[in-house]
Parts: sequence; structure tokens; C-alpha cells
Amino acid sequence: MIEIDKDICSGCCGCVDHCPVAAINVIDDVVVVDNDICMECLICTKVCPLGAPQVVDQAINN
Amino acid sequence: MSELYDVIIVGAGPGGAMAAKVAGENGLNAALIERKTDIKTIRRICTMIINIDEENFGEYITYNYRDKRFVFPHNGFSIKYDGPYRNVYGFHIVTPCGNRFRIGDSDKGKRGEQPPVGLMIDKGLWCQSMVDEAKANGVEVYTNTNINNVRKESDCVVLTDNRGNEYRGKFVIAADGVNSRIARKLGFNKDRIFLGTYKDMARTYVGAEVPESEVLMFCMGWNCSISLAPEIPDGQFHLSAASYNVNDELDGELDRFLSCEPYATWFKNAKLLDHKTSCVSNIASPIAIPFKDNVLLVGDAGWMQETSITGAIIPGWSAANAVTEALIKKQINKEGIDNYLKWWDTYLYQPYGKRLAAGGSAEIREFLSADDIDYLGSLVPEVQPTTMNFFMIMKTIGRGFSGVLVKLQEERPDIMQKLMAMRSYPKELVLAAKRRNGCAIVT
Repeated sequence: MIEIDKDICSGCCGCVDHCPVAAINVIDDVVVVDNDICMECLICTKVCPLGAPQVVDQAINN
Repeated sequence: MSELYDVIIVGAGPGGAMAAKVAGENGLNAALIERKTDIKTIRRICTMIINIDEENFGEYITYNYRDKRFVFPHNGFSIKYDGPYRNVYGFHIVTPCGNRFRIGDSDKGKRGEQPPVGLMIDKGLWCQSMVDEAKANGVEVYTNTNINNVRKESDCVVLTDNRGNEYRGKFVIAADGVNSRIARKLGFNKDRIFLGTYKDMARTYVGAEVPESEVLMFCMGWNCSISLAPEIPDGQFHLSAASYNVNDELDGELDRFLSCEPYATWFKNAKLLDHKTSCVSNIASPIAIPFKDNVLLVGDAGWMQETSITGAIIPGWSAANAVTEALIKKQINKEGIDNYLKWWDTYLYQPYGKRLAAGGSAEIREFLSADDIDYLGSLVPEVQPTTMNFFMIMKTIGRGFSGVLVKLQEERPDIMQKLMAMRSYPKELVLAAKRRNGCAIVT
């Protein structure tokens, strides 16, 4: 799954705009990925100028 | 069923905030939807410069320092701006060793011998103040709301947000920026030429000592485009790196820039501030007719990249007035808002949009070395007439170098040859590279 590293993210919303399925939104001025919608196309990791969206191993997170 | 608004505006940047302000003043039942909570804080890269006292999109904006208003005399309106500002005197191209091609004279400007051509302003504060006015005039403002879909029903346009709420409007003004989701959802992007994905990031430094700093400095000859601009507080600078290749390492290139002279000296005592900005723009050719299914696209949403504050505010104003007229005439259709489409065609699409759509120039860095660019930067030491109008800047560069082409051919035929090769490089190959290195999104 994808998570946005809040310490790296500037909040420019480039990934929000580029997400093909609108899985990324800005909530309370923080960029958040909804992993129920995300199809892991990884476009967000490609377009982010700062490298904030990161692939996170689900097993570790759970 | 939710309330039916006369108009819903999506996006509270300069275009959307202006449209909302006008809709409020005109007495419309309007809503403004913005995904940020805090409109004041700008998180996307922006030098926040507004051109003044010269022509831009048919307008001659000027700032009334006494009453603190930006005045748009050609279109006939003015907007209060009571925030801080800084004068900007032009545009310089800076080559790696520090040679400059100067459009405008920073030092003369500082001494009051050349008037400014731009004002650097607090764009966030300005947007917030327009939104406050809109609110005071009855516009409903929904912040913290992401619009993710749009559809047309028989009597209205329906917008859906990330929580599943629906908003219904007779018209929608889409001011949702360069990567407009609304334009995408309405199918506009299918007919546009993809010109690349432009990715940039910026850092803010305080305490840098930069010579001839009261201009926008565009630094050429690096692995990406580096620009340097003053910010409003003294000694505070905005340093950014940009590229059409999403795989480029922008952060590292900024570090390299700062380790080279003369820049290392300029930034020797500078401190990096916390606030960071970045931006990813999908660049697609401008839209000829920014209207579909009762949705009007304004500013960057219908353009390709940076119509600038001027090019956002005027269409915001024009679109909200056109919607008002359509409602009075009871023509809730394309004919109703025809004045807006006329404005777009006359001042944006015909003079600039058509040309930009045919664009696609080769990357300079693939043809010229840093040394080549240093040499070119030594050829025209004279200061050129100042402008901040993007299209005039291009013309001025052309004019400035036209006088030294013979000298260039004699002294450095190798560079001349490279320039010719760059010029005649097939556009299809340029576009193919931009596609390869970018992330086009059509659906």
C-alpha cells in the first residue's frame, strides 16, 4: 500500500491531481491516500518532486 | 436533493476567488469549493509576481498605492490588496559562471531610476481577502472539500466530493488549476496535445546575499532548470529546480548549484527555512473553447501552464459576469455565456494559445554545454528594455541575440551549429521524449 510521508510532503497536491482513481485527497490540509480505493499504479510515487508517497509493506503495518 | 446554486466555483486560487467575489457582488446564489482548509498558505511553487504597468492579455494592470487597489482599467474593475509587496524590475538569464542576459536593470530599479514591471505580493493573503469578500456577499464557502467528479443532469451540473456529498449548480466555474480534474472528467484532455510533465520544487532561504537580486533569475546550464527570485522579506530567496523528466533528482541538483561559485558565496550565510513548496504540472495544449455541459474553465484549468495571476483573475471576473448575464437572459447554455468565450478567444487563445499548442521545443541541455551557455551569456552585456510579460521576454531574447549572430558564427561556429541542430530537431522526437519522461493522464 501507499502512504504519504508527512514530514516530506509539501502539500502541493501534485499526486492528488494525478491519481487516476481519486484515491488521494487533502483532508485538514494533509494529503492522505485511501488504500481501499488505491490500485497501486504508483503514478503518485513517480510524479512527486519530493518523494513523499512511499510503498509500505502491508504486513509490517498490520 | 441538495440546494441548486446559480453557480458553483471550484478552487480558491486567484481565478476562483475572483469569480466567487464577483458572483457574490452580482447577487448570485453561489458556492465556492476549495480542498485546502487554509486558503492563505500557498503550498505550490509560485513567485507570486503580478505584472504591472504593461500590456498583458489586453489589460494594463496598475497598482494604486494610495488606495491599495490593483486596477484593471481595460476590463473596468479593481481589487483591494492591502498586503506586503516587493518591486520586481525584470528578468535575467544567469549562466553557470554568473554571466547575465539582462532584461531590466535591478540596480537602477533599486535606485529609483527604472520603474518596476512586477509586484511580488502575498497571493495567499489576496485570495483569502477575495474569499472573505465573497463570503460577506453571501457566497457559501466549503473548504476542506475535494471535488472528485462531475456530471451533467438535465437541469444542472452535479459535483461530487470525497465524502460522497453532491453539489448542484446551474453553472460550474472550474478554477481547479493546471491539472484540472474537472477538465479531465469532462473529456477535454482527449483532444489535447501532451507537452510533458513539469516537476518542480523550491526551497526558501533567509540571509542570502545575491547581487542584482530584484529580478527573476533563470539559471541555465544545469541538469535541470534552476530559478532564483527574491521573496517579500529582505534577504529571503526562493530557489527552485524544475524538469520535464519525472526521474530527475531535483534536490541533488539544487545542492550541486549551491556548492558552485558564485552561488556558494551568495548563500554562504543563508539559512534554509521550513516552508517548502513543490509542483507537478501536466502540460497539455490550451483548450480552444473552455466550455462544456455548463462548465466554464478559467485560468490554468483551460490553459497549459501558468496563465499567471493576471491570466487567472481576468477570466475569473469575466466568467462570473458571463454567468450572471446568462442567468438574467435565462440562457443556461453556451450562448448565454458567450461573452466569456469571446474574451478567452480574443485575449488568450488567438494570440497565444494556438501558438503554444504547436509548441514542443528541444531541451537546451541536450545540445549546449555549461561552457557554451557561459559564452552565449557574455555576448550581450547591454541591458535590454524591461518586461515581465512572458511573451515579451521571449521576443526580447530573440531581439537581443539577433545582433550578435555574425559574431557568434565567426567566433564559435560550433555553438552556432548546435543551436541550428536544436532548432531543427524534429518536433515529433521532442514530444516523444516528453511522453516518455512524463505522466500523461487522459481519463
